[in-house]
Amino acid sequence: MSTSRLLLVAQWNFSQLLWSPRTLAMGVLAGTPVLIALVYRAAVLFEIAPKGTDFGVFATLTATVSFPFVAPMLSLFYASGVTSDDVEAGTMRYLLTRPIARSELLAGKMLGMLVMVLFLFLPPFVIGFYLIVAPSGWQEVGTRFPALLWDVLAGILGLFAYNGLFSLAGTVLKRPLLFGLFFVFGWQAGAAIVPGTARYLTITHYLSSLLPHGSFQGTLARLMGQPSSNTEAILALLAIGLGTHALAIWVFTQKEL
Amino acid sequence: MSVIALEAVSRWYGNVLGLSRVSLEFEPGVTALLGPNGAGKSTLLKLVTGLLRPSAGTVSVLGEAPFANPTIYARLGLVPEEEEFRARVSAVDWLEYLLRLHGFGEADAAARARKALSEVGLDSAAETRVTTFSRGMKQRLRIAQAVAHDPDILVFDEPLTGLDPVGRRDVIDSIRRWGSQGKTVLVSSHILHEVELMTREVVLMNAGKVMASGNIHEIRRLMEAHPHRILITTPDPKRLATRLIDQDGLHSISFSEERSQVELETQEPDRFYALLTELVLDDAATIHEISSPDDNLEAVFHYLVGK
Repeated sequence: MSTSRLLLVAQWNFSQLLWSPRTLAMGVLAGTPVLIALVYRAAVLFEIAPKGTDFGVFATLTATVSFPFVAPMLSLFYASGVTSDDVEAGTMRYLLTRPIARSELLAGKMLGMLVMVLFLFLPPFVIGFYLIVAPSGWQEVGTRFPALLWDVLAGILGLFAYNGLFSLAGTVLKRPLLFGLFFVFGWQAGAAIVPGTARYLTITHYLSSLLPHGSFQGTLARLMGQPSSNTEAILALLAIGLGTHALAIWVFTQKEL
Repeated sequence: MSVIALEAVSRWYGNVLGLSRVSLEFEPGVTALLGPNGAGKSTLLKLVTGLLRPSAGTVSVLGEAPFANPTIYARLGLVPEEEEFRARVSAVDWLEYLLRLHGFGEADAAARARKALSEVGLDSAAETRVTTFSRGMKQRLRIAQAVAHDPDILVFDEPLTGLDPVGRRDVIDSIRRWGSQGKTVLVSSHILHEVELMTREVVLMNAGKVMASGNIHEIRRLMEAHPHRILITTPDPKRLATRLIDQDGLHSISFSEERSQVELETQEPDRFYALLTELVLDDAATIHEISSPDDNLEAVFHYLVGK
């Protein structure tokens, strides 16, 4: 596999996505944590809301908005179009008839999409942290900073896993968006509260297990069963991400388009 | 070894047969694929360009199976059939990107992209977004991306679609030029008279099968069920008809004083032309024009395909 061509495809794909109408819409979605943080700050300022533990507010925001909603939605709306974007734009045949292995082409496109999703997800997530926690003082920021880093790492792993899964769906299925919406809001939400081992077949279980401050689903999961250990969760997210990306590449190399 | 070879190739789409046991070989020069919609032309081109795999048989391009084969793509240029092109990029950026996928460096890719756009008359629109292009401009861009890397094999699926008359003439001239340069050029088209301007080598297809292939005049000569029509314009058609009526090898003969024409049918046009020359010399007959209205692609196509 030629790294330079893979990076060329990734760079091209990222630049194409960056200035697309989709990114405008996804930018609004990605900015949700910042918006909520601003609303919280305003509410505290005007004493509409009682002042709670700022980091607790951030933790709730992470566990109820950023990880279970923003992250999978961003991944879904980008990664599910990993092949259909070019088919719909009428550019796929031009790309397939270039002297680049299909595996490189798809790997490059998926890399571009992952960078795009991280680019949209991480800055608002970190800004949200500062908006909520910084007014408590820089000492509090310093204390909570390792937790933020851990959340960022969990976010990267989660997005990697989601991107792989939705890329695979985009390569195999005709309607990957429907699958993705069912997976996020049907399967994951349901499996998290169903006793037994179904939760191990979700990404959110491993993502929740990684959150040091617990999460809504993580809390419920604890009620229904133990969360996975950090090592298990990291390995599971890596395995899901690597496995689904690899499978998506294999399907693409075999596919007639 | 042929540049492109198909051996007993069939291709199914579910229960629908797209191509049925097609065996063909293509050498350098221009070859046109002709046939009505659903004849299998596009399927054949997709098999040759490795976008499809055969259900049975083998396809070989430069001695290798073309499906998803980067080695082949380094030497192949494809103008796919017309479809929407909605990439939000300028023409030159798009071409540069494609050329960089061929391994050209940044500067080389930029120079080649500009040159290719200039060759198809798009140099003034190089920086313009492709989404704002007219249909004809998009078709020119399709051609530019196919030739920018100077491939040995060119595959055109309906290349004249959307082009204005000047554009059509330019593309026809270019296709002839590429063919004469030793490139192997496959062109699918349904505009018969324009194909005739490109090449005499054709593959006539219908319902997924090859009806005939080779030089169009040779194919016509072999069609015994359809004698050649020959029209002779002369000031005295009655006299010429009288002289010809006794000759062997003529299926029918008629004349029109009004149009000053003799019309006849023969299975052996070459023999007839030799005979006519003798008659003219012996009788000092005056002939203004000789034409054979069904010794062309359209007639052959009509006789074979029935459309």
